Amino acid sequence: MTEDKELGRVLEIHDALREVTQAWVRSEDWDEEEAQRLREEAVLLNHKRYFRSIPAYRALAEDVGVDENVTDVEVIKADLMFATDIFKSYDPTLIDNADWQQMTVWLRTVFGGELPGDYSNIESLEEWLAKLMEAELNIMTSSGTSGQYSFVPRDMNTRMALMMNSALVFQPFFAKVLENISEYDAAILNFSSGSAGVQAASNSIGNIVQTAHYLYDMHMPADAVRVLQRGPKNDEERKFIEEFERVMTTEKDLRYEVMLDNIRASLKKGKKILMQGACYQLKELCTKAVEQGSVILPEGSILLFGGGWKTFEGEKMGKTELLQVIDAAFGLKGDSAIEGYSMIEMNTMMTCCSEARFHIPPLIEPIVLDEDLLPKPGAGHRGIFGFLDPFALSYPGFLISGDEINLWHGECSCGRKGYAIDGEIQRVAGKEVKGCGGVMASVKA
Amino acid sequence: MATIEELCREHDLLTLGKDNIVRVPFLIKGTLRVPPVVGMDRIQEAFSAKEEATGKPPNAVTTVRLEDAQVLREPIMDRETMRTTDEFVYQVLPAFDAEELIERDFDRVVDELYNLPFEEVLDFLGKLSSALSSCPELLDALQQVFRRTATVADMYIDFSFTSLGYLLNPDAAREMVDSELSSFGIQGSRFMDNWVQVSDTSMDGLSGQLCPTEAKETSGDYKSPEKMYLRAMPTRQLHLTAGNAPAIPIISTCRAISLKSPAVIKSPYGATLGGALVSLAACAVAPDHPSVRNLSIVYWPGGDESVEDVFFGAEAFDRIVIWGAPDAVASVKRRALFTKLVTLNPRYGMSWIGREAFENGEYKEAARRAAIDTMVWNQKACIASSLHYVEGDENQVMAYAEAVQKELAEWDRVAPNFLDPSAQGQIRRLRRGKLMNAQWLVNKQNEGDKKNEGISSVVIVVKGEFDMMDHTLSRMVIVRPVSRLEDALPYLNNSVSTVGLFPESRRMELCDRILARGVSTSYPLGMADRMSTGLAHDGMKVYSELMDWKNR
Repeated sequence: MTEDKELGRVLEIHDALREVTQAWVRSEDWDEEEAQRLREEAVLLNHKRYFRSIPAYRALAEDVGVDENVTDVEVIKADLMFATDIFKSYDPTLIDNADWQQMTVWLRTVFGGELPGDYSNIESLEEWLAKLMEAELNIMTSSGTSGQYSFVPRDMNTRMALMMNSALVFQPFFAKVLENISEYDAAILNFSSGSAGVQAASNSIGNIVQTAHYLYDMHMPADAVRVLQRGPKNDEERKFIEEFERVMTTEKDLRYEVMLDNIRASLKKGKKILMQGACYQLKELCTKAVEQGSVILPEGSILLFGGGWKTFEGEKMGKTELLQVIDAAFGLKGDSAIEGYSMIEMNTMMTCCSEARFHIPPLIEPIVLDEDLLPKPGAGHRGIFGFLDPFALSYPGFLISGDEINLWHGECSCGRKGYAIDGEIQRVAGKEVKGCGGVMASVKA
Repeated sequence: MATIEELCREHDLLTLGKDNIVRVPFLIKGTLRVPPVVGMDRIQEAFSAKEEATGKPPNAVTTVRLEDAQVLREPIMDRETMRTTDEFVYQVLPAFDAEELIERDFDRVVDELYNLPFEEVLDFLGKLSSALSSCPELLDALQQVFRRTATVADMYIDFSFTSLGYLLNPDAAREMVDSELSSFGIQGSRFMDNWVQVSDTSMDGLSGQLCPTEAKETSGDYKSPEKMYLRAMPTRQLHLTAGNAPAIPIISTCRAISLKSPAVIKSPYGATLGGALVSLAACAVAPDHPSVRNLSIVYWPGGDESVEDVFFGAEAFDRIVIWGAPDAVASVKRRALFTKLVTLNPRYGMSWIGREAFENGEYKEAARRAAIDTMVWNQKACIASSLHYVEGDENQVMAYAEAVQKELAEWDRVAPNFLDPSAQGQIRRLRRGKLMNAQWLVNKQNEGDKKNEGISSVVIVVKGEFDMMDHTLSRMVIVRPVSRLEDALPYLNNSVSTVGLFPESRRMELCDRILARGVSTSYPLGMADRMSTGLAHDGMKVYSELMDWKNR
């Protein structure tokens, strides 16, 4: 079988899985066994493709004594899953030294395609990402909680899959919105532009409405987090840090007030609101709105939130409490306040139901691993969340996340069946330090 | 007076009983508090209820509180494979009320303890030390109990138990106090026992000199105290210890006793037996001694608000000494806002190998010494070396890394490592993630036994930066090649406790530059845990920090 032939069949399976997911989205009956069979077929085909084209994957396979002919998906679960940190497996000083040629060499190790061309004259991360985009390679970035960037390389097929799958999952909530998009303005608790993964969702929303209000009307440079972490190296970076601190700290309250004023102005024009933001920002906006006597949004308005609390763990609020604050601030509840869960390495989204479960669409195969990182069979366990993503065509899609979950399986009273993440999602706990050795926080050495 | 063994027999303490239950006593201000008799049914019921309430698996639920007792649950180790089993040892400990441990009667402690001659304290320490050294059968039995759940190799346990008596050695205590509290060339113990005249001249301050009115000569002695006196006044101390070595709570106890301080010592989970042993010894040798009447050695689960809200409140203690785990240190710093903290923060050590090691063919010796520094308390101690910066070309660095791997393999052979599942998972995560492109030199344990096989030690040659949060602190050595040792200077900060260097000429050359960057100690390679009295600990003279220096 040639690679083209495998890709063709994988793309056919993608369509078939999306068809199954259509029924899942509508909470209709769907064939779980067939979906599983399709996923496994795509995973085994992708194994062959990865083995031939992704150097890191091939190295791991050879290390564990596996060739391209794997017939049992359990082998992949046990031996061929990467940590999502694989997308951070470069030397961070390459970025500080602006050595984009070597960064491209590294990227090739986790990417299943050629990256010809000269990258040695590139001066910034933004420029590097733009040049890769010219080569039809979309890199989604995330700074995570450690401040070191992940770079996830998506070819056009994979990028398209992410967009189509996400749209499919959100269909029940957004179908009507999209039909009547001219009735909406957007309130986006994010920067007005940037290349971080979370920014992609903001940009998608911002691009389809007539007016989008952004909490921070500034561009978030791709290398911003690294600059903030290591300190400025030149005047331009110093200026950025000053601007960033002004916007995020000095003007913090003012920004929320302006956002509320903008929302009120949209309401006066008779618009509904499409709102999006991270939990900690949403909490702050809601608190400010309640202080001002609430800003009740018209029926049909929708809020999409998620992303956990990350470095804002100290401000964490329980889910029920947060939903109460959202209701009190904007009058949004039930299907109007949707919590989403995903990660930049995954090509779908999940949404939380009324039973506090994030339902996993049949598009991916969820796995729970023990602290030894060995897979636990079936569902009903708490452990580290891993998944086999058949839609990752250009990078290894057999991945172990840094989140700890309860994997649930059954028929939920919300109407959906299949796998779900039940209850709270936590970052994998740090190692227990016995003795006085260790570090208080992330320290580069 | 009863002996330690008699107290154990009388109250059925510190022996592994039916259902793997061990009864562990506390010392509460000089009184031995023994736990109630608790049966397995009650214990199981409490743990099952907590597992259900928290949704956590059995191995993640380690403590429960009953109405009149606390129960700790520790997994039993298979000493052959150094893997945990599904069975547990249950320690039943007494309950206590936090308020009863706090000392608020200052007048009593001044009379009874602060003014107690230091010689009497040393005499008591001597008796305590002798008592612990004269019960070898009990120590042997206790060692067997500790061994059931200990996550360190037998040789570390053996060493800990044989050094118990030494830890309370009165001569060492005298030297520590005399050297650490020494001032104006006067021995420290004098400052602790009495007001010591340190100057016979003084002058008025600014205000006194500028005073616009004239002083009246009255009795004539109002100006007489020109002599200045200094005293080291003991403090009420809370010691929050860390670690899984039975010695650590004993070191803290020795500090508190030596400094004549009313103290509460919190034993850590995994090492409650050492504190219990000292409690028994204290009650056996001198239950009415002021040092014992003002000492409490207890356990509570870290974060228990019913205890910590009281202990961390204003005026409860004069000093809180906190060792260890990042979360614990951060939590105490956040909550104990009104008490002076002596924090022994989590830190790590480094080894720096100069290119001379290769020029002189001594790199194997450097590797041997660096492995010694790596293995300090199984790499859990803050002085243990976790990163080795090596000045050399690619081949030289690899040769060094291989030599370290061989050294660690020898350590693994004589002291098999605990194959901690979370460390195994972290190694797997790094190998299949962030450090995928690094060079991995792995030593395995239980090789061929699929169920129990694991990585006992590992050397990873990393070309770029390494995030210390990713370190397992379990026989993992990160080797970073540098073209000049000076290139490693930017990676020094106050998180680094110790840098061992090879050869000596390079240590002498770089020592001050290293220490100026927040590092506390620079020793010759292989000597990270060498000991001497009176030296600094984490940049402090800890005994001095634990005292309140007073002027008169």
